[in-house]
Amino acid sequence: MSCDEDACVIVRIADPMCRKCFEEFFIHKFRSTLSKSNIFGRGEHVLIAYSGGPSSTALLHLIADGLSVNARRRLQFQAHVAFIDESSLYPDAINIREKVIDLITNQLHYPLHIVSIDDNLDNDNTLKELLFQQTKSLTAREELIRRRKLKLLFDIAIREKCTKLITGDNCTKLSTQILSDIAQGKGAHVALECNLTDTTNDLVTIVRLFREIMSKEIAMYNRLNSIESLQNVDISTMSGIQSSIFKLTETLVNDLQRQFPSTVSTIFRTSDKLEKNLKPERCDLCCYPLNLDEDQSLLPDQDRIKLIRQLFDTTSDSNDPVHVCYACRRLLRDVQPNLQSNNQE
Amino acid sequence: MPSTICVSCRGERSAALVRPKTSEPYCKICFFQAFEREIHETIVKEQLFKPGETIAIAASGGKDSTVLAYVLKLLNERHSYGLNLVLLSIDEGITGYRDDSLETVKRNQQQYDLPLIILTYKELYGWSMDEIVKAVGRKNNCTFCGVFRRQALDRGAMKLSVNKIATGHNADDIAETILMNILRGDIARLKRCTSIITGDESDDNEVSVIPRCKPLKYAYEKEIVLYAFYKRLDYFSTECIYSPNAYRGNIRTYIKDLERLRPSSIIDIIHSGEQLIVKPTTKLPVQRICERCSYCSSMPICKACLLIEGLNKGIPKLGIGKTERYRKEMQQKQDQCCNDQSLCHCMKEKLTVTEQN
Repeated sequence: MSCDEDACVIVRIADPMCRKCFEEFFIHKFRSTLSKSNIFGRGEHVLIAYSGGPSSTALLHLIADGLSVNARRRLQFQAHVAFIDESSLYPDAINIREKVIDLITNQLHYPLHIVSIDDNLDNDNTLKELLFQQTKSLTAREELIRRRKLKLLFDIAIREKCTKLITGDNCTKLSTQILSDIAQGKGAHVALECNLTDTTNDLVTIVRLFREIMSKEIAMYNRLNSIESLQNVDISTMSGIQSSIFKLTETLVNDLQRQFPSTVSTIFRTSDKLEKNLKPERCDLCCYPLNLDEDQSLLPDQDRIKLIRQLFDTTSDSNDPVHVCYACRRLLRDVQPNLQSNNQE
Repeated sequence: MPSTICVSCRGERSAALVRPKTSEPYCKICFFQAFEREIHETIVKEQLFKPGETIAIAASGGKDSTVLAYVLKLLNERHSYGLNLVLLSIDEGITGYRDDSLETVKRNQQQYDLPLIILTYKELYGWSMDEIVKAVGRKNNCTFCGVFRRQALDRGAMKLSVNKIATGHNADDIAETILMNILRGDIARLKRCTSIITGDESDDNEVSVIPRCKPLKYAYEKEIVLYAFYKRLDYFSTECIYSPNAYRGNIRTYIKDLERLRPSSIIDIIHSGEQLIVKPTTKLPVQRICERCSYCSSMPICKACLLIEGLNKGIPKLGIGKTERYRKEMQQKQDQCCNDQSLCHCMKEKLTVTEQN
């Protein structure tokens, strides 16, 4: 399209690009998002959330390039990397820790913080039991894991004095997340979850650098640069396309995107026009602002309160009431807490 | 072991169905009571009606409008709303679909003893849907039907001097509309579509529109079907023959799958939709009056007039999607293109228009 060389990829309709032009386009998109709002301060400690998947691997490489000594307009922050090891939940998981350590410590030389998903729990089986025995639906399991991971990332960031958390969420994933959240009653948080900088947490700001980049573009970039992502299993691997709300939504978005190539960007642009609702109170489960009244959001059930305290809330006093937002309240209905623990219910 | 005792009357009667909204077993009587009570609570809480008002029920002969007519009449008497109810029906001119459903509406008029008025697209716009589909094809015809029907309802309502229009939109419809507006990027509609009553804020509009409300907003489609079935209400249940290719179909399937996974999803989507706030700095369309028909519009010429113009001129895609560009081109061309003696196609169009006038 621009330089008359042979094209190798089409990311937008009628815009074939050769390899060089595509890489320039891709990197330009990334760097302009980065420098657009002067997000990072000089010497600021920044935590990069690494999951092993294609997006976060590409993210790491791009940041590494940006931080390297001979980079054009070199980035000025200090990078840390966090990896949450979920392998205790899956019996056949390959030993992924070694690969992560190899990439981050040995090759990239960034401080690496690996935390197991059952970190800080009394018993290694608590989370596993919660997810597989007490939770009735795959949707609820996925959502619990998602909230737990976010909580752990915040904890690591605060512990390491990192004021920013960069995630590799790309536009396609965010659009799917938007629809899936709306289907679960989380409409109030959509405006926050697709923002470039998300200040829901007072201490750690989430930064989504890939929010305008499609998953196809990332896949192409990785292929052209031989960037390998780690094979990673998650809770919904190998389950059908109708097994959870997220998977169902993912199928819808991908099908529509095939027929109408502007679907993902339209969903994203629409959510960009929504106003953020930053009420001061936060949901104790998902950390986002409460969208229910005081009395409706109060959790009366002692078992579930205990659950949330244990898994999601390590800081506050155990006598404080627990508040949850509409979506989390709906989510908890799918969780049957331990039936033999007390005489309630 | 599934319980077969109705959760509402606790064993007085055995359960006959599982309620889609709550997945609990109910007996018929308690289900009717719960269904009717919830609609009554919606009407009261949202203050939809005032005593003495005349309400036009948009009746198509389908399950939603039949149930709406039945329940409104019932609640009007039971709780003394003090309303005058009339049935308003629109004949789009779809052979094999609308003509049959209109027979149902006429029967409803007898059964519920309510006055009825029927308006047709042919008399209002000069085109029936069958003729439109022949000219436009099968993909974008729902746009025509929807735009024309909205205006037709308003015109019929003005003819009858009613205070409000009540439509049978149910929870599934609203959930679909919310998702569809997000997928289509229509932020203005997204803002309005969860309102249970629209057109009522006539203080900042110069043009007063007849307010319309959706009393069935929180009623699941499945429950409406169950209610109509058990009450043996007379309704017409075939899908419009032109609808299979509509975009909405994709979303409808998605919502049906969602409902199977988690029945409360439909209400959850509506809750999410109500929580969405549009940034005040977003550019939204301003309401003004159509230059040709004086109906309310966001453009100088309202969509209905534009669509009719397209149909009459033989360029049916006028007003659909990106052909706005084509329209502007056409207008420019007419001014600069050819002189009076020319046989160029632009002159032919000018001739056609003058002939029709």
